[in-house]
Amino acid sequence: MTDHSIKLANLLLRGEEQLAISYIHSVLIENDRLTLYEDFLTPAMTYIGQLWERNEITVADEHLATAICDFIISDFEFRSSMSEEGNRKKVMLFGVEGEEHYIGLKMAAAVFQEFGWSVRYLGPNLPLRHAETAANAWQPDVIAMSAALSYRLPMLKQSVQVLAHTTGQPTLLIGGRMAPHVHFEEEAAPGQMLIMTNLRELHNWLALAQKGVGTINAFS
Amino acid sequence: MPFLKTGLAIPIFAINAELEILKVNDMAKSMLANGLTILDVIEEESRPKAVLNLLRFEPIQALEINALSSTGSILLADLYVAWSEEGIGEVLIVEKDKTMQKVSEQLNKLRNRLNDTNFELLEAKETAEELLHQNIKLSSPFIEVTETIALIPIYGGLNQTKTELIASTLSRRAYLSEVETLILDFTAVGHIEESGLQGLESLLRVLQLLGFSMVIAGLHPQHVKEWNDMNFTLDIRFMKSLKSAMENLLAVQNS
Repeated sequence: MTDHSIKLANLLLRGEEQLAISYIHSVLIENDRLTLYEDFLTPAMTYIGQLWERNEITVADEHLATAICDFIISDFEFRSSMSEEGNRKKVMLFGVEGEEHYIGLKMAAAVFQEFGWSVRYLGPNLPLRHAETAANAWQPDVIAMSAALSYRLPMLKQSVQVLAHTTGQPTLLIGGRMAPHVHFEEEAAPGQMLIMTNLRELHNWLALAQKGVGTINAFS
Repeated sequence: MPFLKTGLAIPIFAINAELEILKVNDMAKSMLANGLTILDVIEEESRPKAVLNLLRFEPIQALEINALSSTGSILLADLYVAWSEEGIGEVLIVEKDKTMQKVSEQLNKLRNRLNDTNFELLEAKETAEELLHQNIKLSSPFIEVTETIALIPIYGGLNQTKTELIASTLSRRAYLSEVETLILDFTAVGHIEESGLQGLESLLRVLQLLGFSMVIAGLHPQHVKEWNDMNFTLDIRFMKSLKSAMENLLAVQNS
């Protein structure tokens, strides 16, 4: 936990979106978004979660902080200009059914965008049947989903099993707070599923895929 | 335990130091999940917070937690505890006012709507870009007029992207054809950006290298000015209009 993220967390909790943005501009070097997501915003939101555990803030405060955080991500989002290429890789992202936490997912979507991917961000709490329909219709190369709470794990597993068989056999990425606790790869979708415990990991994976070192469907 | 008889409209539990439930009132039975310990009434992700605070054995006022209802749904609630001297804790679980939840749900809906709109805009943007691309491709058709002459009428304004795209399709097309002379007609061209003119120069250079003789027709007075500013070094014939260009070339051909 750095001083930056604690200061940022306080600005988020106070609902000061402009101050938060100028603070980020003052401390962020070269507009590095990955640092913003991974080293500033993520720890800030984790810290806010801890404040709730210590009963220092309420769910209402948390919601406000989330909304401000959402606004900041949108403000920094990379506007891709690589859209002329017709053969861009496609990714679809969503939070599993019942899951309302979405900030991490949104940041992951922004990371994909930076790499020039064609991104469909479907938001949190997407019913599985909708996800399935969308996957069959749009046929993404990658489907990224996230879960933050332990009791979403069964739903996450079910989603993996269903989506692994959609047209185009997408690579499935699992992220979110529960990602390190997922141990059903071999059982649910062998050779088709990857776990990303943080955005840096995702970033590195995308960088490798871009260079052609290990294509999307090659697993190491 | 007098509370069991009062019929208070708030769920109340009596627990021991191991957090095991000793007694519950009717409201707790009907409203909340049942279980052996108080933790069974609390949603999994809120349990660490509850344990941390309960095991201090101090009075707790308004500890925000998610409780589990009798149907298994999650209720945002405040937990109050008071401990007796015998180590019995009286736990009240008061559901939070729904107003906040309502506002938050509204916000969620708005966010979803914005997200949908965002999508539609994105899709519209992608379609527009595709159309623009198509449009550029179609804005410089290669028309073979005679065995040796081809006409290329160019449409619309010229910028770098457009000239680059025209250059790639045109040089390929011209290379595959049998013609010797190319007439580039500028009658339908609007504004030419400087970057567009530079792109045009490189296109003309390529065509000249490929051995074509080139005629530029239909330049506007404004284009002529822009053209002159560029200091073009290429050997190109200029004709006032397409009509005069055609007449001229056909006369040469038939003589």
